[in-house]
Amino acid sequence: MKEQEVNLIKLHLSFGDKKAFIFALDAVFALIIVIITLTIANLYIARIEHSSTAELQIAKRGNDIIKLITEENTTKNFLSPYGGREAIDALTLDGIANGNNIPDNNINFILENIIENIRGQDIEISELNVRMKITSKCNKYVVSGGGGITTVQTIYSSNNGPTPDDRFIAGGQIFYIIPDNVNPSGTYYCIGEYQTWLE
Amino acid sequence: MRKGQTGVFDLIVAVIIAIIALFALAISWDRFVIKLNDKNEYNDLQMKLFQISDLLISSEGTPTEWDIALDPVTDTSSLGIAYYDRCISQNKLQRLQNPFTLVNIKEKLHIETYNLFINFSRLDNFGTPITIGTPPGATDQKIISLQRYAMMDCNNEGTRGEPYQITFKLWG
Repeated sequence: MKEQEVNLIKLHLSFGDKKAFIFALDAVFALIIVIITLTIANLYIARIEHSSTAELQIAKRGNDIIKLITEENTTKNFLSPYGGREAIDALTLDGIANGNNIPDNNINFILENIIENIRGQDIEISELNVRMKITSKCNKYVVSGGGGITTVQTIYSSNNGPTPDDRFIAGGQIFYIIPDNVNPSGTYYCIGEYQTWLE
Repeated sequence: MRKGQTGVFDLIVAVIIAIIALFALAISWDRFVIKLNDKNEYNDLQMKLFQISDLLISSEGTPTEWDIALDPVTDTSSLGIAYYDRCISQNKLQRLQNPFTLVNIKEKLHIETYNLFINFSRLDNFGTPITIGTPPGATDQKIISLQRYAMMDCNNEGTRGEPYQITFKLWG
């Protein structure tokens, strides 16, 4: 190849004054990509710091409290509209039915009452930072005059104030029976749903 | 500035930028790995603590009446202090304090390499809390804490057990 031809090719391949500009643009693009990558990586790191298993704690605690307040053989006649029954399975439900439901979704009131009834004296508990809502659908099966069975449904709700939307809400279901020893057809079969959250 | 100089200068700037970017990536990666390991360790401890708390307060243990065995430490294959689900047997709890030791308990729970502290206290803080193990010190790190609620000694017929707050702590 002649020297003249080589120079001609070089001339065609040259970018002239734009060469430096293209290099700089290339570097800027690379830098932007790196910055984006780092930002995304840091966002992921920040998300890692938020623990999802820690949220299970409130689910466990809520379930424990439900167990405490729906335990059989509570105290007789405590807030019970059913009167003198041995087993008040649903203490909360009784309270709700009696209009003494969970004020401000604060479960401490119920727990305090349980302990007071066990001990027979006024007490003050260390405030638990758990708040709770309970809704129950209870069916009673009544034998009608013609021999058929009529289902009577009652819905109880402890809905006192809004459920917060800025934190984790744990939920669960409970199935329970409120027996009526005097009149068995008055037995309630209930499905309850609860929501628990930290104060 | 000549073309050659421009090219070299451009190369130097590009290399500097590349080095800074690589350093930033390396530091971020390192931080990411550390956080991920911490998170895994934390989750692992948390799950262990959930299982320990469930095992203790929800199960009776094996054999179910291990508390009346002649040698509970040897005869018990699985620990559980419940009379039934979330109703703690006071007798089993007492046996857990004596003749069991923290070492025995950790062996039974297969957490020999960890430290465990359990505190049983009434909701109104009445009386002295029942404790197992020693609470973590100021220098201990990565302590996982879990609160549960259960009734104490509901096996007396006709009475509901007293609600207790149980605090579990586990750390490496």
